[in-house]
Amino acid sequence: MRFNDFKVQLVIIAAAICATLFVQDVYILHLMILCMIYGAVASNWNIVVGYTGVFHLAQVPFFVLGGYTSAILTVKLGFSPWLGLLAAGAAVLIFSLAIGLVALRVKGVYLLFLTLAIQFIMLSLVLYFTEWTNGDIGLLVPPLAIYGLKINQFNIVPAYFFALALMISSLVLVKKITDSNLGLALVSLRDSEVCAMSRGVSPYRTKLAAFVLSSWLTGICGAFYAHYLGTVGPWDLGWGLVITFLASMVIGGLGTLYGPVLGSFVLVFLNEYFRVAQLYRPTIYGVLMIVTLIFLPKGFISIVTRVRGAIASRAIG
Amino acid sequence: MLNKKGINYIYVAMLIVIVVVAALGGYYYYTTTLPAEKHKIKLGAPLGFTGHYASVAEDSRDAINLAVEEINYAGGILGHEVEVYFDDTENLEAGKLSSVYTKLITRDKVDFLLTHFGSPACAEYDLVEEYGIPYISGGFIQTAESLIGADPSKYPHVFLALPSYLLYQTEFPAFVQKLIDDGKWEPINNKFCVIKRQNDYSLYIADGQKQNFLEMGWELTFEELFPEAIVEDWSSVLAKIRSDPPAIIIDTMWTTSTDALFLEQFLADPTPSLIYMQASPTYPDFQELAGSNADGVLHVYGIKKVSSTDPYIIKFKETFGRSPSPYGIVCYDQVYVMKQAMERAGDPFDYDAVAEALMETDYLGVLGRYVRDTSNHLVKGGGGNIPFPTFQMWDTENYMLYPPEIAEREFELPPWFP
Amino acid sequence: MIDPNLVTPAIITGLALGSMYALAALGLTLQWGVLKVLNFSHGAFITCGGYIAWLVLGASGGNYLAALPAAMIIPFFMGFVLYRIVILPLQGKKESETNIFIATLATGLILENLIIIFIGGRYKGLPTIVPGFTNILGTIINNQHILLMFLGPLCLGILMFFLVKTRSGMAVRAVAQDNVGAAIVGIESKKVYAYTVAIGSALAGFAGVLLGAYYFLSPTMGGAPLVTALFVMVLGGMGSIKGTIYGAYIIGLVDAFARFFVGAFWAEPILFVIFILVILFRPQGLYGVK
Repeated sequence: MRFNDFKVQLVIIAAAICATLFVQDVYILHLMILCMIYGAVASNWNIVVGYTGVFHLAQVPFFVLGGYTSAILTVKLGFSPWLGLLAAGAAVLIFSLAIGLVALRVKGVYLLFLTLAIQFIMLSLVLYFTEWTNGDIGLLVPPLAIYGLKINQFNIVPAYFFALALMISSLVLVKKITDSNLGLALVSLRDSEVCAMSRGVSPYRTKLAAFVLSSWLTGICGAFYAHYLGTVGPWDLGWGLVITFLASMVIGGLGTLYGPVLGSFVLVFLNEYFRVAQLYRPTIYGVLMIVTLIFLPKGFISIVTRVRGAIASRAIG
Repeated sequence: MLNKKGINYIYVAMLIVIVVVAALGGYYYYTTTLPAEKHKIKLGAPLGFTGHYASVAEDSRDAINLAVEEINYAGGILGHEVEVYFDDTENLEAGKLSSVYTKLITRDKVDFLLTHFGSPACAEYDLVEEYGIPYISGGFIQTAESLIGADPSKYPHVFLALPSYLLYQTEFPAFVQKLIDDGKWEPINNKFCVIKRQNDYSLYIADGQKQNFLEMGWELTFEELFPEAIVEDWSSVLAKIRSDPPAIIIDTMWTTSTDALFLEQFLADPTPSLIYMQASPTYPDFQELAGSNADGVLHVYGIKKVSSTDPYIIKFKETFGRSPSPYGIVCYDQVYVMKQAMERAGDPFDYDAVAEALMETDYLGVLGRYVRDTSNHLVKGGGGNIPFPTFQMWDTENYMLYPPEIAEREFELPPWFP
Repeated sequence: MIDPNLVTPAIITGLALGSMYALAALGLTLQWGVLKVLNFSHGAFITCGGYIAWLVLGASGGNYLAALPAAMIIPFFMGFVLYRIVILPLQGKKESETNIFIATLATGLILENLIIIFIGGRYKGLPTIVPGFTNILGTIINNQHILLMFLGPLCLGILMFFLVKTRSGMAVRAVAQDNVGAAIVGIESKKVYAYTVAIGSALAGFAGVLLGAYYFLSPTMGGAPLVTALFVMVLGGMGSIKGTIYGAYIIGLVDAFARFFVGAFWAEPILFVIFILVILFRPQGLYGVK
C-alpha cells in the first residue's frame, strides 16, 4: 500500500471514521459530526490563511451567511431544504466575490480590520431585520429530508455520512488546489510576494481566486449545520465559532492538508473529555495555541508526519 | 536530538505523551460517566457557566444545590436520593446546547432536566421530546408561549417555570392610571419617553407599554433604541430628557450596570419624571451598584415580594455569601415543583407520568404560587398565582404598591422631585 | 432634526469620549509604531488594570493613591512577560504578523477567562475618583468627564515629552524608524521592544482604571475600547501618536453627534462605515506613514 497516495489516505480516514459507528452512542456520533463540519470549515479557511498567508476573519460570516440563507429560504419562503443548501453555496460564493474584490486590495492588518468589520455589520443586520431573521431569538429550521426521512440527530446515521461527505469534499478541494498551478502561486505569494510577482503571479487575482474557492463549501457546511441542529441565530456570529475554527487551524497545523481536521477533532474531544476543566476551556485553548505557534509552527499534525517520515526512512536505510 | 538512525526522539516522545493522555482521558471519561445505580434520581442542569450569563448560572447552580441538599436530607423523593449533573452551555450556541443536552440524556441518563434558559429559538424542545425526558426551562418565555401555545400536544414533556410576560405590558400603565385617578400624583405633562434595547424581551415590553400609554392619551417625546452591546454612555439620552422633560421615563434595558449608571448621571440634574426600570431593581448587583440612587424607582416584576428578611434569602446568603438574583429563587422553586410532580406520578422514572403530573402543577414557592396554564405549559400570572406587583425601591428594598390586595406601602414621590 | 439645545452637550460629550478613546488607543499605537505588532490582548490588559485597582482599593480601604499606580505597575511587568514569552519567540520568523496577532488574541482569552474564574462574572464598581458634577455653559458634566478631558492631553503630553526629549524616548523612536540603523548606533532593539510593550500595557492599565471608575467593571469590558482603539488608530494613522490624538477626538465627536442626532443604534454602524472608507481610500489615515 502506498500510504502517500491521497486516495488511499482518504479511504483510511473514511474507514476510521466509519468505525466509530460501531460505538452506537448517539452522543459520540453527534460530536463526530460537529468535528467533521468544523474540520471542513477550518480546512477551507486554511486555504487562504495557511497556504496563502492571508489572515482574514471572514470565514465565520461565510459560514453563518450560508446558514441564514438556507434558513430564511426554508422558513420564510417555503423552499425545500435541499434547494436551501444549493442557494447557500451560491449566495456565499457571490458574497465572497463581492467582499474579495473590495477587501483584497488592501493587505495585512487592514484586511483584518475590514473582515472584522464584516462580522459586526452582519450581526447588526441580523438583529435589525427581524421580520426575516427573528432577530436575537434566531430561526427554528426544519431538517433536510429524503422521502420523509429526516436528516438530523434523531436519525443520525444519514447525517453522519453527509457530514463525512462534506469533510472529504473539503479535503479533496484543498488537495486539488494545492496540487494545481494556483496552489503553487498561493504558496509562492506566502513565501515572498515580491518574488512571486517577478515570476508573473498576480497577487490580487490569485488571492481572490483562493478567497472565493474557500468560501462556497463553507456556505454549504453552514447550511447543513443549521438544518442539522435545527436552529441558526446571532450567537453564531460571536467569538465562539471564530475561536473554534482558528484554534483548529492553528493547533492542527496551518498550511497543512490534514492539520485543521486533526485540530478540530482534538479540540472537540478535549472539550468533552475533560469536563472538570470546563471553566478553564478558553485558557486551555489559548495556551495550546501559543505553545503550538512557538514550538510547533506546523501544528500537531507535524508530529504525525515526522514520526511517519522517521519510520519510513528507517525502513529504507 | 538526532541519533544515528535519523529518528527525532522528541517527536516520538510527544506522540507517546499524546497517546497516553488520550488513553487516560478516555478511561476517565468512560469510568466517570457510567450510569450510577438506577435508584438515584438524576437531575440534569445545563447552565451557561462560561458565557455572558455566568452570574445567572452561578445563582441557579447554588439554588439547585440548596434545594437538592434539603430534599435529600429529608429523605429524598419517594425514598430515592437526588443527584445533580451540571454542564456548561456557554453562550447558548446551538451546537453547544445540542451536544450538552444529548450528553446529559444519552450518557448521564438523567431523569429530569432543569435550566435557567435554553436556546432563544427553543430548539432544544424537539430534542427533549424525542427522548421524552421531562424538562423545565425558565427562559425565552415569549417564544415558548407562541411555540407551545400553537400546539401544546406536540410538547407534552416541556414546561416553563415562569408566567407569560403579557402583564409587563399592562400592569405599569394600569398602575399609573390608578395613581392619577386616586389623585396621588399629578404628572407635569402627558409626555413619556421609551429607552429600549435591540432584543426580543426589551422590545416586547417597551413596545407593549408604549402602545398602552399611547392609547391612554399620552404623548411620546422620543424613543431610543440601543444596540445589544453594553451601553456605556447616557449623555445623548439625558440631554434629550432634560431638553424636553417627560413625566414618565420607561427604561427596558434590563442590564444592571447600565441602569445603575443611568441613575447616577440622571441625578446630577434630574427632571420631575417617574422612572420605570425593567428587571434590574430585583438584581443584587444593581442594588449594590446603585445604592440609594435607586430610591423611588418603580418596576413591575413577576415575583412575590421577597424581602431580605425572608428565610430563604437569609439561608442563601449564609450559605453562599451573597443575595440571590431572581433566577437563584426560581431554580430553587422548580426543584420542588419537580419533587411534587414525581410524588404525584408515583414513580420518578415514569417520564410520561411525571410529565402528566407537571400539567397539574400547583405549588406554593418562594417566588409565588405556581399553577400550570395547560394551554401553553407556562404558569399562570397575576391574581393569586405568580403576582406581578408594581414595586417601588427604597433603601435597596423593594416595596409592593399595587395591586391594592397586596399593597404594603403607599406610593411616594421619588426624592429627586422638587 | 438638529435640536440647538443639544449641540453643546454633544460637543462636550464628544470631547470627553475622545479623551477616553485616546487613552485606550495610546498603548496600542505605541506598540504598533515601534514593534509593528498588533497586540490584541490590549483589551484584556485594560480589563486587568480595572480589576487590579478594584482589588487594591478593597485591600487598602479605598485608597486611589495605592490603586492607580498598582494598576499601572503590575501590567507594566505583565507587559514584559508578554513580550518575552509570546512576542519575542515569534518575531522575525515566518508569518510573524499573523502569528503574533493570534498569540496575543489567545493571551487576551486567557486573561479574561482567569478573571471570570478568580473574581467572578458579576459587575463591580469602582468608586468615583472625583465625585460630583459641574455646570459648564448650561450643560451638566460629570466631574469624571472633566478629569478625563484633562488627563487625556496630559498623558499624551507626558508621552510626547518622553519620546522627544529623553534619551530613552529617542531610542524608542530610533528603533521605530529603523532598527538596523538603531543597532548600528548601539541601541538594543529587544530591550526597546520589551519596554515599549511594558509601557503600552501600563497605559492600558491606566485606561482600565478610568473606564472602570466612569462606567463599571466586567470581565469583557476591554472588548469595546479595543475595537474603538482600532478605529482611532486607522483614522489617525497607525503608529502615529499625533494621529492617535486627532483621530481619537474626531471619532469621539462623530460618535457623540451620531448618538445625539441620529440615534444610539446607528452610532456604531456609522463609525464602522467611516472605518471601512478610510481603510479603502486612505489607509494611512491622517498622519500615518504609507
